[in-house]
Parts: sequence; C-alpha cells; structure tokens
Amino acid sequence: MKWDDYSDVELVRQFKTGNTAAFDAIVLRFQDRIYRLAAVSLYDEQYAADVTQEVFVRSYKGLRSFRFRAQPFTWLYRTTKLVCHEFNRRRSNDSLDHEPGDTSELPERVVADRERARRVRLLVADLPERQREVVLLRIFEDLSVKETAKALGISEGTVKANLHKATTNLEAAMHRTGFRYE
Amino acid sequence: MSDELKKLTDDYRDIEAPPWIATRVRAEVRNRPVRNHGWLPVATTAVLAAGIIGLGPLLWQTTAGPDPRPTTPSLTTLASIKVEKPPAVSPSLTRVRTLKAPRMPAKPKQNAPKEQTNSLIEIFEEKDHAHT
Repeated sequence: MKWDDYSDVELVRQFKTGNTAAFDAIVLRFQDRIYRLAAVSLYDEQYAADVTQEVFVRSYKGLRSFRFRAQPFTWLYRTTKLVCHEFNRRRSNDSLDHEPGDTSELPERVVADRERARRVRLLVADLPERQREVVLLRIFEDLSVKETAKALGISEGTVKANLHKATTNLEAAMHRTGFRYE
Repeated sequence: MSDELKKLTDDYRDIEAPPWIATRVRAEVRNRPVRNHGWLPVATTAVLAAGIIGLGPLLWQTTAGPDPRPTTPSLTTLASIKVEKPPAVSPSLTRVRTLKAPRMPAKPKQNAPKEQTNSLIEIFEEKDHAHT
C-alpha cells in the first residue's frame, strides 16, 4: 500500500506508531498547502520556506500527541498561523510594503510563484482578518464549512456570514483595482 | 463564484513549495530527536498525590490548630467502643462473704445510780398528776 492511498488521519496514525516514513509522507502531502498559506501571509518566499520548515519540525513533535479531534490539516493550519505571527513579530522593523526587488537571478518557477502570491495577497490583504482566513480555508483550500469553523474556532454560521461578505468585498476590490486576468 | 475569483483560486493553488523543503525538514528533524516525555505527567501526578497524602494531615494541623471545644463522639463511634475487662480478677462472692471484718469494740456498760433515776421518775409522775 502506497502512502498516497492513506488518508490524512491514517498517515498521522502511522507516524504515531513510530513509522518515520509516514512523517516524510505527511511533509510531501502538506508542504505546498503550508507554503501557500505562509506565502500569502508573509512577503518573502524565503520567509515562507522557513515558516514551512519550522511548521513541520514542530509537527514532528506535536503530531505525536495528536488526539484526532480535528483534521491534521486544521492542526497544521493553526501551527502555520502561529509561526507566521512569530516571524512577522521578529521582522516587525521591515516595511509591510516591502517586496523583493531583483528577480533576474531567480529560477522561472520561483518568479512565477512570487507573482501569483503577490496577486493573491494584493486582493486578500485588504480584507478584515476573519474574512481573509475564511477565504483562504473555504475558497482556496476548499475545506468544508464545518472544517473551516473548527480550524478558526468559530460557528458555521459565522463562517457563512464572513464568506458572503468576503466574496462581495473581493469582487469589489477586483473591480476597484482593475484587476483582470488576460 | 465569479470567473475572476475562480482564476484567483487557481493562482493560489498553483503556488508550490520549493522542492528542497522535505530534505531540509528531514535533516532538521534528525538533528532534533524527540525525547519521550510521556512519563512526565504520570510522575508529576504521582509526586503530587504522595505529597498531598503525606503532608496533608500535617498541613491541616498547623493551619487549623487544636480545637478547644470538647469533641462529642458520634453514636457510631460509641457503638464501636469495646469495654475491656480489667486485668485483675475480681474476688468471688463467697470469698467476699467470708471476709472477716474486725470486731467492734465492746460496748461500755453504764451503771447509772438508782436513786437519781427514781427521783426523776417521781417528779414526772407528780407533774403529770398535777396537770391531770
């Protein structure tokens, strides 16, 4: 049986029994999702990579005591949010408008990812924090309303209300900024 | 969801983590072996429980102090009290009866003078006679 066939919960269960190969599978499965969350929250892909690494290092210890009250991704999301806050506090002297400048030396893939992250951030950044989180989890990460509510520690009704407001605000922001996909 | 929002979602999902993340995490995890601290809560609980059991009564005594009021035992306590016989054997009734008490001293005999008594009787008799 390949690791791809295991569900998220089964993977964590395998890891808890001491199977370190299961941890590698966890990293491979979630690394993109964690990196995206960090890339949109932070303003530097290097920071985003550092945050992703730190989240998995912490999860190596933390998932051993995971009690399956929520989905593993919910736990990872909360850890990512916490680590992002810590990184943001550490570099609080940096300007929030800071964007990396010269991209000529970077691989094409990195440049494309940076541009995507910048676009998403540009539109999502103006939303109130709760709406932004709901958009990230419910729309971008495609979590269910129930899972989103659990991840954010709010009611399902609050998720729905925030989702409605956020969608309206996002579309208004797209019109206002003239944001158009070619 | 509008087309623009859908494209934005696709943009988000196209962001990929650098391929070296997994390697770096693996190396970092190897450098930080996880110590098993599972015994810690159990040990803490055991130590606390032993402390409470061992020192609890002492702490209670020092804080509460001796109670000046006399304690009235409950009925159940009284019922559980066993009255023990005294170790010394009590003497049998027959022995008690045979015990000899010291003799009383002899009653002194009084010999009153005859004349005096007679005269008194006579006086009484006279008086009685007089009243009647």
